[in-house]
Amino acid sequence: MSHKPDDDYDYLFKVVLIGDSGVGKSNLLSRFTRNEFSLESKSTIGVEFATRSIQVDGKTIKAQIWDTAGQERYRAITSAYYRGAVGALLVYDITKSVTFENVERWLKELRDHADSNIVIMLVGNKSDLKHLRDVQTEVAQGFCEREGLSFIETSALESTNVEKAFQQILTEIYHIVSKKVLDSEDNRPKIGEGRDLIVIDKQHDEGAKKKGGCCS
Amino acid sequence: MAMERRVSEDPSTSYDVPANGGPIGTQQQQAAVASGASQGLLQQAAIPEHRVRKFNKLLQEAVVDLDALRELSWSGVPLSLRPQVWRLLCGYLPPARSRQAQTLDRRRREYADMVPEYYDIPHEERSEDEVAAYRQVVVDVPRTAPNVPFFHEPIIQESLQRLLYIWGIRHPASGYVQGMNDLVTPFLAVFLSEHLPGPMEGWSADTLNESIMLAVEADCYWCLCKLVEGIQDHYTYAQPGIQRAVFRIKELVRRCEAEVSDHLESEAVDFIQFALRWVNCLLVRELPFCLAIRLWDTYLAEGTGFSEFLIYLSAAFLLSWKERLTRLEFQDLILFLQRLPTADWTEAQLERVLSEAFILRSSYSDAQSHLRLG
Repeated sequence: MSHKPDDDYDYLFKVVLIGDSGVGKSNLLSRFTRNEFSLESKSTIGVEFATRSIQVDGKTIKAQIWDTAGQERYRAITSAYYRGAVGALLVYDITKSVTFENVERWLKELRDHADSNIVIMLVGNKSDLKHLRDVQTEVAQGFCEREGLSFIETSALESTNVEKAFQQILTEIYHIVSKKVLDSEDNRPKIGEGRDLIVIDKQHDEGAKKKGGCCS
Repeated sequence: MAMERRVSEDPSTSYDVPANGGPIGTQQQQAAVASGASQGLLQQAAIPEHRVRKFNKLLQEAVVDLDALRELSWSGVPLSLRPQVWRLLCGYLPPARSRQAQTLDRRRREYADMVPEYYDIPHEERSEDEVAAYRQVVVDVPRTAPNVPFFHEPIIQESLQRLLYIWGIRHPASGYVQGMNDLVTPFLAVFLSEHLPGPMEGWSADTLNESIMLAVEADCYWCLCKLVEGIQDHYTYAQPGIQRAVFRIKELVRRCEAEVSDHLESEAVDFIQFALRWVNCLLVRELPFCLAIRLWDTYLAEGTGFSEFLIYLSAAFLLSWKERLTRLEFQDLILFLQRLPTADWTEAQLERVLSEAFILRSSYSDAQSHLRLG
């Protein structure tokens, strides 16, 4: 039992979860990292942290995820966590249009405090509450096309698309970082050169157990 | 092993209490306190009889000696006397007994008048900020103390919603801030205990009516006002009071246990990452609910200086895991610190930390005063 799989990764990506209060950020995180969901979770005060590793193209990607409080009052403190983040899941609640309307404000937050080339995915959560839907999928999709964001609808409760959402954003980040597809994919005009992203590459850190270079 | 077995907060655990909240008189409640029987969510270890007598004696004076009451309350208040003692310590009730009933009446009426003025109005009459505040409270109230089922009774939820919203509107410098709902819960449990017999697990909302609830709510409201009065800057823009408190906790830990602070620093763990919630919610979130009530005895006994004491308490709390902390690396440190294993903590364990904090304050408060950043 000397092998600690948690420590064995090729890339470490810092990702933040942002969005209005009560949209389900903490449950998305607990569903992804611990496969847990709670209808009665407490509100997040400040930030909370969790990690999980996934495989992308045979590489182990470790996601270090910071879940933030949704209330505006905490923003001065939580925005410090945007620094160094390579991905952001911007979450709204599909049953509350006001949480979607606030997405623009959250994007501004990211523009002001995060790296300019952070990968952003818009996440419409609570897709299980079909009868209460307040934000049409097409509307959100159209918005994302205009803004150059990825988009997905999830249900942390039913565990729908949660895995996919994280997998997708981490894969996207990985592709940019590894520059494998950088030149061939020109549909991401908002994202800059991979080298600008702040990434901790464990192999460079340790200079040991080199598994094979990532950058040709 | 500890002499007594604590009742867990797990609602599935069965209790030796009539499920329908049968008529258990105050006498019985008192007896339970004296014998130290477990009280579940309102549990309390035995308070020696001579201490209970001292409390009774103080409370029966024509003018209650508040300094003496503070000193006595610091180490815990008997369950059945808590409502009265807390009202006095908060400065909500005057120490002159002849004026108490009248004051209580007046304050409760004042609060009752605020309900139609601020709360019971059509949404269209609220400003944009008020609507946002309302929405925030509505999102948070159902997430208040999830492991205390009684707080999720509709009548209690409504009450929480009203008082938090009104508090926010009446304190525009900060407004309602997430986590304040946690700060009300000890008051709520204690003031409800005057009307609901026996352990909290057996309480039934059926025996509560609107007028009882409104009185409880008013007491909670005014006591919350008093509690937060001295720490308003914890909740204003950018939360300067919290940032300062966290900085001071860090400095204190550095001074008294450099090994721990060096280790946290070398692992790139920043105090704000875990201590923000500690200070914001006055450690309520880090402890089982019954202990939060015990913690309130000490805070209220500290009076206006309690936020200063919180610095020492937070440092002592952190250092109670000293050995463990110095063995963990970044990720495990953060995960450990955001979910400290206190679920099984007894009152004795909390009291040990309170004593440690007291000692820290005695040793460092003078030495630190000239280093304080303001």
